[in-house]
Amino acid sequence: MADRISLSQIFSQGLRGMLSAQSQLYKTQNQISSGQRVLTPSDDPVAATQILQLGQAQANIDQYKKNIDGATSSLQFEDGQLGNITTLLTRVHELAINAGNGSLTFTDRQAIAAELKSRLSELSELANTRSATGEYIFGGYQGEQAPFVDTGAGYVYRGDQGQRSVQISSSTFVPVNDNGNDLFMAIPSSRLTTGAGAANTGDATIAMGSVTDKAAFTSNFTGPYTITIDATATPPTYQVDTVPAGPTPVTTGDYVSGEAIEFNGAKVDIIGTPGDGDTFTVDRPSTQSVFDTLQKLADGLQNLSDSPDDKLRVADLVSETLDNLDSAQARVSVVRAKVGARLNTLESTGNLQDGVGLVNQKMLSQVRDLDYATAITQLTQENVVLQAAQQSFAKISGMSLFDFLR
Amino acid sequence: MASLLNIGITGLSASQAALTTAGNNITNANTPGYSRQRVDFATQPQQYMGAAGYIGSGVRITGIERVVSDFAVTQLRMDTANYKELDTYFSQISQLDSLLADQSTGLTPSLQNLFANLQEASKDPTSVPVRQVVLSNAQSLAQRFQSLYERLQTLSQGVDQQLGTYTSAVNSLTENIAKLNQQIVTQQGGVNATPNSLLDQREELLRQLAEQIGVKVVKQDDGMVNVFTGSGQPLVVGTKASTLSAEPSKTDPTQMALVLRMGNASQDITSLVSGGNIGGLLKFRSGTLDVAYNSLGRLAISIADTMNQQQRLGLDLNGNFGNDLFSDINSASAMQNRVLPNANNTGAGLQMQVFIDDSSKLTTSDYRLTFGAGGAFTLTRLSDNTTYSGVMTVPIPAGGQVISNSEGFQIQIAGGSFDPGDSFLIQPTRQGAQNIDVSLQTPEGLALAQPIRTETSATNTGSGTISAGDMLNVYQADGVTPLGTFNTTAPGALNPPLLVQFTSANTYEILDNSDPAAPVPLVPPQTGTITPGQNNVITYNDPGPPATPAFQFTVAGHPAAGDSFAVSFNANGSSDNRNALALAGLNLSKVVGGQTFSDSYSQLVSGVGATAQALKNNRDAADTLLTQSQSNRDSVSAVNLDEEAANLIKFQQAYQAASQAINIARSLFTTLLGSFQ
Repeated sequence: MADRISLSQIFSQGLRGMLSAQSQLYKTQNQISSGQRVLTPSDDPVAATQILQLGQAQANIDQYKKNIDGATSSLQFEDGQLGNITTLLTRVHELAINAGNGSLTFTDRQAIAAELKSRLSELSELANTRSATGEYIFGGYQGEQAPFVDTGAGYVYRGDQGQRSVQISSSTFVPVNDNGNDLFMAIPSSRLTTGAGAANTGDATIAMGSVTDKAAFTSNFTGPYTITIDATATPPTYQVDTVPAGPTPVTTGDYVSGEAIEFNGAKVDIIGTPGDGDTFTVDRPSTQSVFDTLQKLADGLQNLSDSPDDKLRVADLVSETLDNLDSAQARVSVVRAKVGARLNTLESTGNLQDGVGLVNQKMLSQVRDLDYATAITQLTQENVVLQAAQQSFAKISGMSLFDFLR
Repeated sequence: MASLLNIGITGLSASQAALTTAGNNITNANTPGYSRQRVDFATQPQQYMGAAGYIGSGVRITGIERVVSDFAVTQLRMDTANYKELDTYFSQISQLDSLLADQSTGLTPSLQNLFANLQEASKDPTSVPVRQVVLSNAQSLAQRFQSLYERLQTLSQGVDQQLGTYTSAVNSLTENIAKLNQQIVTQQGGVNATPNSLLDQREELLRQLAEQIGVKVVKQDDGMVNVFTGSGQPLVVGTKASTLSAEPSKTDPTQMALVLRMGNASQDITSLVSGGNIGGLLKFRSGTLDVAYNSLGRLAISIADTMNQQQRLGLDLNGNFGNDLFSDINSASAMQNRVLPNANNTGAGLQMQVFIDDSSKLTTSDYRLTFGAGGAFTLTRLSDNTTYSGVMTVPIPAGGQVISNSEGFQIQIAGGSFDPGDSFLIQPTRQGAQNIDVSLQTPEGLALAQPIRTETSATNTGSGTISAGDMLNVYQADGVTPLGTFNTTAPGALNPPLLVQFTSANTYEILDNSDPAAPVPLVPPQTGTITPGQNNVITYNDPGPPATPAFQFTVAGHPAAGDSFAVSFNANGSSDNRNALALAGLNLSKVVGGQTFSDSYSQLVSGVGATAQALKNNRDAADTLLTQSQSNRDSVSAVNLDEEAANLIKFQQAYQAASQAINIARSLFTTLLGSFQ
């Protein structure tokens, strides 16, 4: 500092001191009243960027948590409905076992058939379940139209195989529905696909197509096959050919009603009296909807009489139905297991998001929020500085040689 | 005695002058720019007294001097210009700083809301109210962009207006300095004495000039000063002053340029000026404001473009292909407004527009296109002066010309002519934030579903699975004509529906599934191989022409020969949310120059914040320096009242003593006269 201090220096220095102390006080006061350390990005650009990024991350986490809540309620609803379906199928299973009781009469079976029909319509109600927002939950992407429709010739699926997912973290998507096709329609049949020729003249029916030797079936059963009956011979004979027929038949033998015809690891029963040249087809197992399973059982119990052949047919029908019901229940169980696994994922991801959110909040608070103890100490200190500046200025500016010129 | 009397009289007049000067100093203690004055005394010439030698003959005044330090004054002027520049820049950028980060004025809240509600829509895609919320969020985002753009424009207009005010101040200062130069030469030349108050006045005017603009002052021998801007443009030469004015720029008519006129010559000195309020404003405009415009604009264009493209890949609630959510980024007026021809161009009727072809590659820079001889052109990225050169066909052919580059846009020239030397300012992103608007009117129009779906055949024996499929293109390259696959003459169906049929465990053929009972090969056939057990992406190409990838799906697991997967139009797929997830996912995709939307905005905020912080620190430092140099100058030149009071006492006593000398001389004379009585 120079030795010579001019009048303007005394005043401007004093004023500067007071102004800067005041502006510091004003800023500290602003921080205290807002509770935030960073008022504008220029206060701390690095912190300002962090605040924006953490805020964005927090917004994402909040949204993911909302999504998790939404997905959880959707899946819990679906799980509940699947539980109802399982209960229903268990009841049908009991009815089927009842129906297989050989001592039942035609009338008894008709009573069971009546209950089966009401169960069938109950099942279709469950399959056409709508969510709280009015969407059919088993319709795939086509949630606004009922996926299962009774055409008169059985139920058909009008939905698709679409699956909706919800985002629950930056990289995880969880499916929130399952399509009705996989659940109810495409259920692998336990039996070979069999059929009777359209021009058959006899009353024989084909049933009980099953696999007896898995290894032989896998390597040799190329399917489809035709079984042709020669009723002119005594006893009648049958011949199994590939389609189209090869130079030599697959197998031949004498026909006995209800006796198994076995070839290439597969086994079929033909029951009744076939006409001459009657044909039957045998192919790989295909799929059958659970509706068809119920419908077929109900129709069979409704129509099959007490004749010995029909009794055989009932037994066969019940056995096939039980196998198919097992498959259907297994399918529902698989889907329920998947739903359960998804619910687990949702819960664990939710916990993870909570944890990350907590860390985020803490960091955000560290970066953004004011330490009141420091701030108030600072405020007091700045107050002292301002008062000192004011008092010393008043003292210095009051001193003048002119006061002594009298 | 006569000499004592005379000596006493010289003492009286010298003390009187000194008292007057002290009084003048006291009364001017608060006059801006006043330098204290000091009376210089010297002894009167001695007289020869013969053998006794020389005897003194009193005091004389050699001059009344200003106490100044040229160094301190020059330093003060420089520090003033420096401080004013930083202070102006800081006060401008502070407005932007608080505007961008504030919860109520910044972009962040509306950006977050839009994507949060897209997630909500993905949970419930059939709900019209949820869709309406998304649409409203999009509208509020667009409005936020527009209002930020308006605030930037207010700042721009403020800069232009202040440039006008400051240039008038500069003009009146330089004019007065030139006049003072004239007066100083006149007053000093005649009597060879310093015209102190005129010099003080000129010094103060120069200091005031430095508040407006950085200057260099060169003293001439005759007492005049010449004044130049920091880079050497003359503001005052002798008794002549130039005029500075703010006029619409030749290169960018939307902005004011600084034009210096001396006589008939004029020069655009916008890029040459630094220091002072004017320097601060210009630095704010080029260093921060232009970048803010372009960053915001680029973000708006990216959001509009990526969301529109995703919309157009989806299906709306009515089963129609999605339309643009935001207004087209390449509307006719937007494309034309991106080109600003130089006012000095001589070419006629050049129809030029800028088409953004890849918003992810856009930068925040402006560009300059300059034509040379024979159709040669140079495109310069102004942020770092990277250039692209090429030659165009001249004259421009009937079909027009396109100048492409890897900067995300292309320059389309439809017709007209240009001359060598013509130049154009290209601003691809400047007005993006102003142009963004929501064009989708109905909430049902949000495309939350995708146009295709896949199905696994019930008779499949293998374990192969197929993904739901991803859309690649719905339209041909022109963005208007739908691909044949999505032919609008058969809405609600693929043309043709497809079947992916495996001919062996690892080969497949895509078939025309128009008749599900008898699928037939496509023309041309599309076949391929997969690696069983891995994820295999299968792409379906629309036959065109030109052949265009339309969509793709992933086959995983082990399909068996004869297995098939149907690919069909997603009719009635109102519960599908795949496109909603894709739209919401844009939030996290790095599509703005390698950054996400929010990161790009954070970068702008933190960039402005960091500049503001640095400016604040630099301004505070400059303020300290200014205080120091003001203090140095005041320490030398300003008035100290105690000092002047002491001087008053001192010269009062000297005056009284000199009076006493006269009194003695008088009494001596009286004694002498008395001795004769």
